[in-house]
Amino acid sequence: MASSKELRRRIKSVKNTAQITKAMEMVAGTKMRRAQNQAISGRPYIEALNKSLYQVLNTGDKISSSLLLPNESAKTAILVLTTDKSLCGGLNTNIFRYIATMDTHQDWDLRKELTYYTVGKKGRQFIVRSTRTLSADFENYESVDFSQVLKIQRVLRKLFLDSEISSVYLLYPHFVSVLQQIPTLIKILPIQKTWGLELTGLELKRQIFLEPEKDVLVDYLLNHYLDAQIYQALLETKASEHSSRMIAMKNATDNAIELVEDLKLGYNQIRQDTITRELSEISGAALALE
Amino acid sequence: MAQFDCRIITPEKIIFDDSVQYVSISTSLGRIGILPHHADLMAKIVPGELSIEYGDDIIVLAIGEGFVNMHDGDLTVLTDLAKSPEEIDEDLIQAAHERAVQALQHKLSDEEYALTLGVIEKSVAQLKIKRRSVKN
Repeated sequence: MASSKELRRRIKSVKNTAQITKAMEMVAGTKMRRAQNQAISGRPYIEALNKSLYQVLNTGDKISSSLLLPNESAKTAILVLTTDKSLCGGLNTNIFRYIATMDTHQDWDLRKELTYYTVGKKGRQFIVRSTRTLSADFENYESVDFSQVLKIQRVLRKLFLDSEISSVYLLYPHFVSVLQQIPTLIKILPIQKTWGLELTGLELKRQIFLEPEKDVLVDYLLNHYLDAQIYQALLETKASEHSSRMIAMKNATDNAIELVEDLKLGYNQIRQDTITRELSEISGAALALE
Repeated sequence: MAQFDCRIITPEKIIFDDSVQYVSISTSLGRIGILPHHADLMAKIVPGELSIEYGDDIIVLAIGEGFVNMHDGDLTVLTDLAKSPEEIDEDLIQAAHERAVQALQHKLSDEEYALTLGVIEKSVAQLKIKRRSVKN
């Protein structure tokens, strides 16, 4: 059995850890609320944008844009969004596990040669370590910035338009709730006309007045759609990161407190033993003197 | 009076969502007015002013870039900025405006140039609306 001194030291160290994780939990909690708000309030915008795009792409008019057409390239790009820091539960691990399952994915595009683009240090490290092809790593900011989105969009769009890559996918943790974040894979290029099949009841194939001329507007919408899609995914990733970290830290704190209780029990037992032994020695000695 | 549903959404939040009588908005081809039963329309909007006849009130907002979509009698406005005069901080916008004008003196990449122009257009739109509301 450990000595009482040793136990005392352990109790102190576990208590310190609990304090740190508690602090991290509170920090993550504050960040989470902000990120969560941002992610959730961004959703109506992207939904409305989705719907508008769907309507404009499915009018009777013929619409052509190179962003809508697949090309012959043998490569598929995947933009993986992860976090820079760890200590956020299984968030990144779930993404990595998803990447591993992609090798046997049904989707035809994913059977091609996959080339990865990352935002977030953890994702970059995973791609490199697992000897997958890392083409570029984008900077990950503490708070999501639209200029960051423009950089990413410009790079991927150019590669796509130059037929370097045949399609672009986004892989990110979708924020469902504080307790649940689901790795989500969506195809962002070529933009699909059949998007939002769940939008039933929309009457299609009818005339919509477009201003300015069709091509300019469609071009604007498509580019903006790409931006918004990446932006929203970045927001979701942030919200997921902070909620996941908060939960992980809460669990760590709870565990530490439990551990302290156990250790205290052991420590008190030893202390009591010592006291009892000393008492009996003293009374034994007193008896011997009589 | 006949009304139609109007929603104004920015990436941050839903700014407005209710039945209105009339909406006027600046598009890349000039100002357009939208009354109930307007034909389906999709138009790119430019930084400027959006006004809504809402009940007995007229709401005026400074708006940024984006587009409007009139579909089945419902109007959706998607824009990166929508602020009422009360929300506009004149000094802040004025400062941003001056910074952007300064920045134009330097050589900029195409993208930076477009972004800076956007900032200028948006700040001008906001200042205009703010100053007019102060005057009244």
